[in-house]
Amino acid sequence: VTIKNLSREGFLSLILHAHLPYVRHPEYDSFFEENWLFEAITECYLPLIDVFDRLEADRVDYRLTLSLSPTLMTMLRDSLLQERYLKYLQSRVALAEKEIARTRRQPEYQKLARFYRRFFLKALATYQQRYQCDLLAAFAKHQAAGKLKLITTAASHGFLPLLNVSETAVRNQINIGIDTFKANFGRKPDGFWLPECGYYPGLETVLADAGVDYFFVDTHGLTDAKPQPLDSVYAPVACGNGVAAFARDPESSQQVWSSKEGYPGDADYREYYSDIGFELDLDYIGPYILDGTTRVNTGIKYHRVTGGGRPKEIYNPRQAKAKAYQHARDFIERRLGQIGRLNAAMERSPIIVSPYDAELFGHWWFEGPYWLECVLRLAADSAGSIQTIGCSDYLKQYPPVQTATPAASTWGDQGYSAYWINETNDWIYPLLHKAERELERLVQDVQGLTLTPLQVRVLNQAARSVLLAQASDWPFIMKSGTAVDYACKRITDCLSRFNYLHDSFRKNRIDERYLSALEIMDNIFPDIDFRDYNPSTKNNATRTK
Amino acid sequence: MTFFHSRYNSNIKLSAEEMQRISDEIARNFAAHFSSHLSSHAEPVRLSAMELLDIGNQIRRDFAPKPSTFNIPEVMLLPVDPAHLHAYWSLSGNAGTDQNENENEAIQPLTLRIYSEAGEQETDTESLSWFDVAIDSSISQQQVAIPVEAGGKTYSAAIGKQCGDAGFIEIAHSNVIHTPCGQIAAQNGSSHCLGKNASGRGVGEPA
Repeated sequence: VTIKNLSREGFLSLILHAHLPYVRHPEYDSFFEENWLFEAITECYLPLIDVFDRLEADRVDYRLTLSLSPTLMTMLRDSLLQERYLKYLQSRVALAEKEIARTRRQPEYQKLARFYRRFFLKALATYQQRYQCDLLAAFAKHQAAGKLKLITTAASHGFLPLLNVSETAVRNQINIGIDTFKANFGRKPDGFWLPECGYYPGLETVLADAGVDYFFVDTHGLTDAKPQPLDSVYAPVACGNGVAAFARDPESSQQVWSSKEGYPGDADYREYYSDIGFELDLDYIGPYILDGTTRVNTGIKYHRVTGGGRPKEIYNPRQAKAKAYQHARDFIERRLGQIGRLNAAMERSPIIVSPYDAELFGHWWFEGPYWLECVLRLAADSAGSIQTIGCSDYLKQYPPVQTATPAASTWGDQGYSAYWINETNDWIYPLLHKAERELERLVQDVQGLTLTPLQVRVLNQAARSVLLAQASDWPFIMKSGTAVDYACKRITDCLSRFNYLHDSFRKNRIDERYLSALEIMDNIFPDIDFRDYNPSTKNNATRTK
Repeated sequence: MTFFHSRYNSNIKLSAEEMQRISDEIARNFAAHFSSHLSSHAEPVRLSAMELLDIGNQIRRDFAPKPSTFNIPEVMLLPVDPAHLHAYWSLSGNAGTDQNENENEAIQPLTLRIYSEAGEQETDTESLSWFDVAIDSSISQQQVAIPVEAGGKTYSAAIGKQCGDAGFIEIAHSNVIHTPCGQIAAQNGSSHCLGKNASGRGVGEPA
């Protein structure tokens, strides 16, 4: 492939944000929502690791940033979920084999059934044999090679603009997120992904205290910044305290995200919503769906998007791959065009920042990982016209020249907080804020007292319960209407658990059996220290860089 | 209803309750057990899945969160977008729930008074202004529309009751918030993130 060499270089920073809420239920033998993790591992994280492995094998010089949320990191390292994931994968292999037999008189479908068997067997081999069930080790390996940059986000993916009634809440979301990353990777991240790109002026102070070098905002976070940045979203701004803000490029976002014009909606790509879990007889598919009766996705999908309101046509993986390559070329060519235009107007080399939810790649857009691989290969082949880069490397080469305060913004629908606070989910905020306030008061009340180890465990577990209740996923799900009962249950459970712990501490009626049950069910953030919730000590949170 | 064993000793009859009890007992005594790795004891507490479930259910039943247990009246503001803010309040143990007050409510309805303060760049000397929002005493939170051009301003609020002489009896005053500046994008604006991971709707529409 020959891509036109331009006189000046430009940079492309691709950022994938990988996150799932904490869905781990040891109190059940199996739990449907754990499939969110299993589907994401199978369709997104493992295929991405395969991409990184292939690029490494071919010595492709690429850079990609991957944000791993603390809840996801914890789940990926959890032995119960690892064990359950293996069972899940084995059941997918069994289903694919059953499909090969069922489709024996439909050669095109049988070809696809064989494709899925290979796909699941490959996932099993990569997961179990190549990486011993530890995907974080796989990501760490590619980071060590200098190609993949890993960063993280807030502890439970709390939506910070609506937690900001307490700076302590925000501070702990950020600090505990960073601590979890450090515990898993042995070093602090230099960048930070704000959950839902939720930023408000002043947040940069907490980020600076946590030792963060840069973070990301949505486009209007910089285009509405004060003063307005000269280079729009194509150069970072300094926030005036050692932290830099990068903003999302709207053009490259639109090409991938848009449900109407985006690549993933192409007629040749696999149709996410056509799944045999919803299409075959219950008697047949029963063992592979929820309780044998509730239809759910199985991961075996035989149709392509097709489009035009026509009946869905059969999926052709080869044709889809060819389209993904074509789309990757289109993406790179458009970025080159953008760089050419920007170079004419800017005094420095522009950076195009393109962040996406990682789960789009593979889970929603099955061909997404291959598209990404092609983009990275094409950029590496472009003879320097477009270079993929991590934001910290860009900052080293081109320190920000302009100081500005980004504008409050999110990447949610309509650009602000309305998706996370509306008639479907507003009931949670008085409860969340009350729990946070009660936790802070409790921590202040015990300041200076000698506590028993059991009391310390209660207070630490109470802090975990509050953190888990703050996840942005629950109000998001309530608004999207997809798994509302589960989201309501999770918030209610977390806050009930906090109430129980708070009550048992205040009344000095601690039942170790109950406490242990909560520690087992919500076994996240093992190094949490409740003392960080004392607002009067500012959490000992100012951290050296 | 009584269940009969299918193949062996048909003289053994079990009720549904007995079946459930035996099943629970087996699950309790023979299922895989979990221990808390955080326990400081040499002998950590071991719990079966069923015990975890029982404890989780009991805590949910007995300690479910309740919003209206504030000891002092309060009102809180949250920024939503350049054209909206969100207010929630609690008047427990105060005038708002007093019976006499309720009787007078038709005359003195609860009011949310929104105060806006000048932004840094505004030089208007009479920069502090307010407007009132009548609120229904049966609700405890509400979204409030603010002038769109006012985006980027500072707001606080008071909840109280109007007096006949245009006075205002304040029950509680809120925190101070800053609303975002800028313009609200069109709903479902394609430049914003709709394609959420496993918990949300993805790209494209259902088949």
